[in-house]
Amino acid sequence: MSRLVVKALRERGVREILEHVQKHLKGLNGVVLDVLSGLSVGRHVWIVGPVGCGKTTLAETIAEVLNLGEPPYIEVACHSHMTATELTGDIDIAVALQAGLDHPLAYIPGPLVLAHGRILILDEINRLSPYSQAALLQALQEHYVLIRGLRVRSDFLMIATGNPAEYSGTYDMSEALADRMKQVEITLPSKDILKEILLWKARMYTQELEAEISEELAEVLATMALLIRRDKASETEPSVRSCIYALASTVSRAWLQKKEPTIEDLRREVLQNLISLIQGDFSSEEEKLRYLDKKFREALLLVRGREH
Amino acid sequence: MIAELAEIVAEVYEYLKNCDEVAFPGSIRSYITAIKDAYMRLLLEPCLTPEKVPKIVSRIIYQNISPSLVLKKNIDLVVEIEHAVCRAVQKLEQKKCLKERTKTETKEKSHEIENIPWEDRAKGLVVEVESSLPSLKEAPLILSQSSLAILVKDIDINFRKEAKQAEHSRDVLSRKVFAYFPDKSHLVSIREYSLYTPSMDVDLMKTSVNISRKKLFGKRFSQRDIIVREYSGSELRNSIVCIDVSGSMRELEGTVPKIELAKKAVSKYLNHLAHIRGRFSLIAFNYRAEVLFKLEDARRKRDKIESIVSKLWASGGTNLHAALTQARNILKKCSGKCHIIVVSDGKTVFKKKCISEARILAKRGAILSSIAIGRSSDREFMIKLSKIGGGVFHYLSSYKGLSKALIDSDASIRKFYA
Repeated sequence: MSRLVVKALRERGVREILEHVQKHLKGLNGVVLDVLSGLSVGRHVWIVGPVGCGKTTLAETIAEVLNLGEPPYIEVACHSHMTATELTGDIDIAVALQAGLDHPLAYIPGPLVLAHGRILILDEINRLSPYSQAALLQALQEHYVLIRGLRVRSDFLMIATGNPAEYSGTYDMSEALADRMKQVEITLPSKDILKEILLWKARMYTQELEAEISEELAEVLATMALLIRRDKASETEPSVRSCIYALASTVSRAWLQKKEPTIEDLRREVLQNLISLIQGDFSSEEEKLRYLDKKFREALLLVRGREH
Repeated sequence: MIAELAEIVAEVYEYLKNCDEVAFPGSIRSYITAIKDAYMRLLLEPCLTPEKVPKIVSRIIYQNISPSLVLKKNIDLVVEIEHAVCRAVQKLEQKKCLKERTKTETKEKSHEIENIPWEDRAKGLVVEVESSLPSLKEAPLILSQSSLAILVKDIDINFRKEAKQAEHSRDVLSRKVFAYFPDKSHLVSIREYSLYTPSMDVDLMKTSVNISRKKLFGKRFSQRDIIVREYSGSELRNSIVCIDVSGSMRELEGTVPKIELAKKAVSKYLNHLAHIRGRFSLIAFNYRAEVLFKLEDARRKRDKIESIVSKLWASGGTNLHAALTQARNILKKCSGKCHIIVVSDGKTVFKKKCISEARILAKRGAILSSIAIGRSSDREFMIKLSKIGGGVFHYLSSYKGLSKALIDSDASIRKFYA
């Protein structure tokens, strides 16, 4: 497998791959190289980062650009109720009994087997229960899957994504599984890059509306995200995704009302989009709203103060 | 590269193992993949600089080992790993330095000059000169080490080795084919073939041209078409020129500095020597004397010798005695007669020593000629030198006639000793 990746890298060239990734994600060149270097020596990669920072998109883009097979990747969204047989696939006993084991419908392949020769993307891998995590071990290291005593060869490279352990709804990764993967961390972008990303993505989403997005809105939003990130009252931080959608929906709402988007519009959208993300030492929803409002005003003051 | 990375990773492992805050330093598998991964990552990095390497390597090691690593207390693992990597890199560099040092030491110990790098060889030369001039040790280095190093580098041929090989092949030839294989030297005449002419004297190129021409026109060829080049059997083929490169040579003569004229003359003389297949050695002297090259075949090494001569420059005082001592050193190692030509204005320190040195040279069988240049030159002293040395004396008022004087003195000596 690693040979295939190296071949793809040689054919496409690192620069071209980076350029391709930059069409979808910005400011992640170092992470892309880290992932590629792992894959090209046959190491599975686990991309770790907070919610909405582009982990899944990154994994998909890299798998797409490497283009190891047709389709280039198999993606599985993991959840806590996923069973091992869901990952490996199973023999349909009824068909097998009637038509024999070599019947095409006797075996229903799972993603681990389907991913043979390509890249397997396991989204939110640490939401897998320890029981199904164990099903991965063999496939990752020994490159085969045991299905009811039958050994099926399956050689693939895995890009897993996951949130850090402190997020809710995640299981601890078993040591054996964690040891088989390289952990690449994505951190939230700095303020300037965040602003750039916000403008770029929001413009992309509101392309059809042909509306202008002023830089001030993005600046305020980025400053606010930074303020909340620094503040210890909130345990979580506003994700890039939610910020993008807050900005984009501000524009679309203004477009619906046939006027220019204002700061007030942005404030309303921010409250709506970010409220569910903020977690921390808050007694009620209203306190959260007040907290967000406060932070928004602070950011606004900061930006306006800087302008003057 | 991989070996170095492995050493770095091993160092990190050792460090984390001994670290109190770490319960389990991570699996061996993760360390193995960390090596491969780091290697690949360094390859992928678009513009890699030496400063980036430790950072990238430590990050990759962290990414690989962090899933299986167990900590007792919360510490900043990235920083710890970076420290370990930096230490490992330093250790590697120290090791490299040690290796290089031991290499150079062993080289110094071995006496084979061929294997010593040219810089060391140059240093050795300077040390030799210094030891031969105890009274002048305080004098400034005129031909500095670095300049000499450049000269020696330009030669950059193992003269001695090649000469040995040539001699060896000649020995084999003479033993197998000819009883006597004459050394070709000074060309005396070109004539047609006659009986009993040694076959080695036949000019094959011209003969073959003649014969093929005759054949083309359908004519018969005779012994007239066989061209024979006769060489003199003279043993005198070695010439050593001691040229003055003291500060006075910087003076202009007309519009050109004297040293430039001298260089031109030497290269003309070199052409002459190449023609008669002589061997040539050049000693440049001011306060001290440097042997720029020991007796070399003027024909084969002409380009290289010329390139060395073109780099001569003038400065400092005059010490002819040093030049003569160097000439004697060369004389020790050469076979056959040797013609030493001294080109100077004769204003030198240690005149008495020079004369006694000339006597020694004459005893050893060398012929010492002298060329005095300039109206203010010490002609008497130069004449004395040539008389003791048994050579000829030339007086020139300017450097313009130097090439002619050199060739003349050489030719007359050759005629005399032929």
